[in-house]
Amino acid sequence: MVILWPCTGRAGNALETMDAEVTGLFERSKSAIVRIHAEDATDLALSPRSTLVPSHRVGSGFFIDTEGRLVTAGSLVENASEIWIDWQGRHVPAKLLGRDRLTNLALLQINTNQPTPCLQLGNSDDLRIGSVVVAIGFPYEMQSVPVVGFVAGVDISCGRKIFPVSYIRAGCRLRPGQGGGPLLNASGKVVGLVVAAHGDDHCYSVPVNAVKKICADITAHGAPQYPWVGLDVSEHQLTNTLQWQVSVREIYSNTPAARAGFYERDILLKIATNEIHRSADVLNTMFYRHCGETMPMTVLRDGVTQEVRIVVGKRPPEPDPIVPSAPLPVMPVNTGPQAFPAAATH
Amino acid sequence: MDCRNTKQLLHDFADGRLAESVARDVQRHMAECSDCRVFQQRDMHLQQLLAVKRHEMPGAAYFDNFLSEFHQRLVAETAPRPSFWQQLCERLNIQPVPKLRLSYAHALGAAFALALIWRGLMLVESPSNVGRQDFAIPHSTPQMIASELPTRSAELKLADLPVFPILAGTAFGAPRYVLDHIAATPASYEVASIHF
Repeated sequence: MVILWPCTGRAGNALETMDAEVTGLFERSKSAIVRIHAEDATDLALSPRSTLVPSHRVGSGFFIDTEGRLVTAGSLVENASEIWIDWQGRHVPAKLLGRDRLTNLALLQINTNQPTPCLQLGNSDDLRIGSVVVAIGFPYEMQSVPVVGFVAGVDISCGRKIFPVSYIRAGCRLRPGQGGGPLLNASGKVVGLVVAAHGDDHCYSVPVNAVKKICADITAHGAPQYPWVGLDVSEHQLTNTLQWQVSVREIYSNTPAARAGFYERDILLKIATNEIHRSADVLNTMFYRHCGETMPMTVLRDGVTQEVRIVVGKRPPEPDPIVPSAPLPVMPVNTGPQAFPAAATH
Repeated sequence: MDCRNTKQLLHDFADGRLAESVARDVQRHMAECSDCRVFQQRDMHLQQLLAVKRHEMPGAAYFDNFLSEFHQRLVAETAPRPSFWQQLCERLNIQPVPKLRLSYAHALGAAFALALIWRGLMLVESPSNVGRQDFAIPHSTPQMIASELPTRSAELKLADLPVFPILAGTAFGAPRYVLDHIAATPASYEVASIHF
């Protein structure tokens, strides 16, 4: 007992500190986190008295500025004919400013004369594996609750689903209704927006840097602007090493990449200033590029490092695959020591 | 020899078709076993009755109409029974619709399904006709909470009862609480190819 007494005392202090931190963070943040309702009208022709059957969805969201703009999960407001939030004890109508299908994010706006409480947006790049995060949302019909967890990973895909940018996987056990809520770091700043649960005790969040970019695009253009260069790339692991390379598999016709003179089997080394080793590096770099900007790309072509400057375009709805009969430059097979074998698999 | 073997040999024993040693064994067993003796007596009585019936013959008229009666009875027993609708049509002297064979169970099931559909459609309210403040989830309305209080409900005011405003606003059952689910295993290293 004599030996354990100091330890239990320290543990008690740590728990008390954690208790105070979490409750304080929750009290500071909960006024900016609201429950969001969305209702759409599904046509039901069988009804003799009405042809509209309302579908009511409920989720969470949070204000990002004092002007009444708030973000939530895009699936919550999909095809919604009416959106409103519970704020200050009443229903307040909300307007959908824009929605991004790829990141499953939606930007809303309410009309109010008073400044709205808002959460401070942090920097998701500062997150590390094991960082403490707090997800806050409204589970079912209950009041908002904080759920404490740790960052368990940053994934660019989950099974066959490929995210547009690496999502934060946090060990937070969430319940239905908490989708669209914020993911806060230990300082109380937003580092992500919860969009999906994964398993029983994990959740995926869009990093807040991506949220900022999408919101800026929606504010400026009314819709997210995804960059597009027209390359199809794949990653390969080098033989007998743990290193990976990303190589060009296909070049789409009438795209910036085709105009810039890319070749099949070019190996991407850099996009702008970011080094490329995996496909996730490509997506995470390209997500934050802006349409119309000129961007340098460093490639390894036939053992020689070259820089290609490319004008980033706007991503079309569906890319046109390259026409086989189109006159494209054909490069000899790379034979240098860094070239990956053609039959290499990953 | 036991009872089972004795009962199997009783007919041959009565007809005298058993070997002498076997017949002696049967006789010895029956002298000792009262059950087999009773069984033999009942069997003998049955044989006597059969011998009497064997000499009874129906009248000559029976065989004259035997075949026709046989066929009539066969048709009557093998013909399908008229359904509920056919019986109803016969009673009401209505010509039934050809090839429309609805049994009573089918008709009952169809009526039940129609009743369910009609009841579901009657619950549908147009959003334009129903105010948002007018409807709520039934299990959360203060009226229902008050009705479930047995004794002191008269003393309580509806305004004092807890109301869940977050549940108000649904006209079609419970709302769907949104949290999309991704059920696959995380695999950030499995991206095969991407286009950008």
